[in-house]
Amino acid sequence: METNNTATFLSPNRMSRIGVLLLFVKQLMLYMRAFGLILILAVYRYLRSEAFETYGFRYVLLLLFVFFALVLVTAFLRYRNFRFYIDQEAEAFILEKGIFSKEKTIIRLEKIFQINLQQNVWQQVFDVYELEVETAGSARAEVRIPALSEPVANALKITLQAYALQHRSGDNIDAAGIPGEEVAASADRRYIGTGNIFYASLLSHYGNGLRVTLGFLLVLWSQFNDWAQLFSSQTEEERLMSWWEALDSERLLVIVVLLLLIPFVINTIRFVIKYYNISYQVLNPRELGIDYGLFTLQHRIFQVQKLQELNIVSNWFLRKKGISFVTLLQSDNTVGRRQKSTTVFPGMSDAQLAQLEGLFFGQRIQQGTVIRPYVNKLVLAMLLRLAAVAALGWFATAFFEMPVEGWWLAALILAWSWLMAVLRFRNDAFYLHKDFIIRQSGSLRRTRKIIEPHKIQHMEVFRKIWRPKFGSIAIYTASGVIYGSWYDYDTLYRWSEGLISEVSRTSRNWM
Amino acid sequence: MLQAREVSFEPISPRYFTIIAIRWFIFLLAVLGGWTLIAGLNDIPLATGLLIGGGLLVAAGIWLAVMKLSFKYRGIAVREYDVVFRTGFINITETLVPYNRVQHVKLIRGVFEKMFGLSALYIYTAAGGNHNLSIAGLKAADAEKIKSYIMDKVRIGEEVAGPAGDIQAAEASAEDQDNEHNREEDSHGNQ
Repeated sequence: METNNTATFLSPNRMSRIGVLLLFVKQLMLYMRAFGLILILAVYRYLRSEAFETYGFRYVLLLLFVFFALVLVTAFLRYRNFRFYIDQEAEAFILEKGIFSKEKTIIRLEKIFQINLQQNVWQQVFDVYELEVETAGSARAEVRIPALSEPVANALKITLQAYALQHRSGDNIDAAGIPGEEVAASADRRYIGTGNIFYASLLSHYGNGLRVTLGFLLVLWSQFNDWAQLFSSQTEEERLMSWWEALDSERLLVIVVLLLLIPFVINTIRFVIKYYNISYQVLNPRELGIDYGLFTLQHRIFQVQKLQELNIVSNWFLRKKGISFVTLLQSDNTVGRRQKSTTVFPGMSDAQLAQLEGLFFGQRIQQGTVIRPYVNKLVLAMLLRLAAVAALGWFATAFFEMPVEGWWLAALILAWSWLMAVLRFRNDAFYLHKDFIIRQSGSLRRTRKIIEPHKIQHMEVFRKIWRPKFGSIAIYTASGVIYGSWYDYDTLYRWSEGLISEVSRTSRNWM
Repeated sequence: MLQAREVSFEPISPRYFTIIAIRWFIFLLAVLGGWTLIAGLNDIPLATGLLIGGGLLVAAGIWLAVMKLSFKYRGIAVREYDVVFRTGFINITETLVPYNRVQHVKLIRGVFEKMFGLSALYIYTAAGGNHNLSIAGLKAADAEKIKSYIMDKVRIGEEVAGPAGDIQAAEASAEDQDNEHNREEDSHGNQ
């Protein structure tokens, strides 16, 4: 079983034996997450009840033993029934699993488009790899094999890649052999650097961090309520209330500042952990290998021709430092899986970006001519913000007796949001070049979405009946849509005609 | 007023409006019936009940009128390299799909469509999760012709591009072989 021979995958294989333990731990974690709190509660109740005095720990231990035994048996059965093989006649990769209800997943070899190896903490402990098969097409089936030893994982990956390529294009199998580890070892590996990741995450993802913090606080609050009820002590609540009332404005300010700092800290830590030591390597002109992660090691291969859209996000600080967030988007037919098919390089340097551009496009990204929206867009945005702030101010005055000074704050908010609107408008543009379409947007944070014309699937041009001069445009690729509004309709019209005729004549494949 | 794209759109059948009106009527009956029931059960005063019912009726009437007006802008144009849909009235949308990005084409006929001899045409590309590429209310025969034409175009594209193209499209077009006609010649219904 532990050989690199293709033939071994032609008959049903099981995972590495240590997989039983991995499944056991996985199942245990799952149950703990689902029933953990209830379990703790039950034990707590039991310890305080009269039954505990008569029976002691006996029943607790018995219960735990039965529970562990059950999970272990389930894990073993799961392991036994988990089988995978390549069916040459059906030209498919087949995976069978399930204890009582058997499940058989069949993936056509030609539909396989990406194979990832990864390791989470437990997989690192047991020294096994998880192999994940991603497929193309709307009927998306996905396969995960959670516990393979390193040689088997690599062999299976190479074999599947070779078969996939062979069945996809009728190519010779030699080309598919390239992604082997030998080539990988000789190529030049580039690292982003923890400093850059840290810097980029600190400045760019405050929105995410804020959401995480809010979620965390909500959970904390609901947990606190639960615990308060569990201990049924009024005193806790009373103490909190008195503490709250004793709070003066200075201390409140400190607390608020600390709370606002949490998102930055959490987010930065999260980011640095997730993308720790991220590196990439041009394996060959068709493939880019990417490795990252501190606890969960990720290794993925990005097929160059599958790139649909390249996103470059930066702000003033990052530009000063010559780094940016670079995101690669792959084709994906299911909306909910966007996250999965994107690859992020936080804090990539301009030189590295230039290398990627060379790999993906064979040249640097060119800007070409620029088209910008009508100023009416800005005017409307400013009016809307004015109306919103006025309504808010009126609301606060009418219902919460806001003092007159409150309007200074309102004016400040309005000034800020107007500034943002102006910046947003200044960034709002399309750059048209014969090889590139660049959609630029954002206010403080500037996003550039770059697509190549031959990746376009279809386009939509809109206009409202009462303002036919202004048009909107939506350009669809296999990974999403690029949208812009309040542009000159005639310009968009001519542009869309030109693009579509170009797409229709291109011989280049979108994938 | 709006100038049209310099394309001759084939308008959709006016019979489709009858279908819309029938559906509208059924829906309206259900809504008004539901409202009568709610008002009756909750002791809502007759005046209020009539007022809200009348409001619903007016809103529904406006919607139907907008639908009627939108027919002026609905249409499909089958051109040399692409197919163009135009839909909407308030927000007029023109969708351009080049033939070499078509994955497959589908005709859908509901109960009413069958009764009136109409068909809805759906085109699928590899673009993620959207269903805008459809136009309802084509005459069934026209829809069939357009579909075959598109499939022919897709198949020709496949032959040029080689076997690496999309399989679904190739399979689907195989069904529609030997449909020899030129859509450019017989599609000139102007609004």
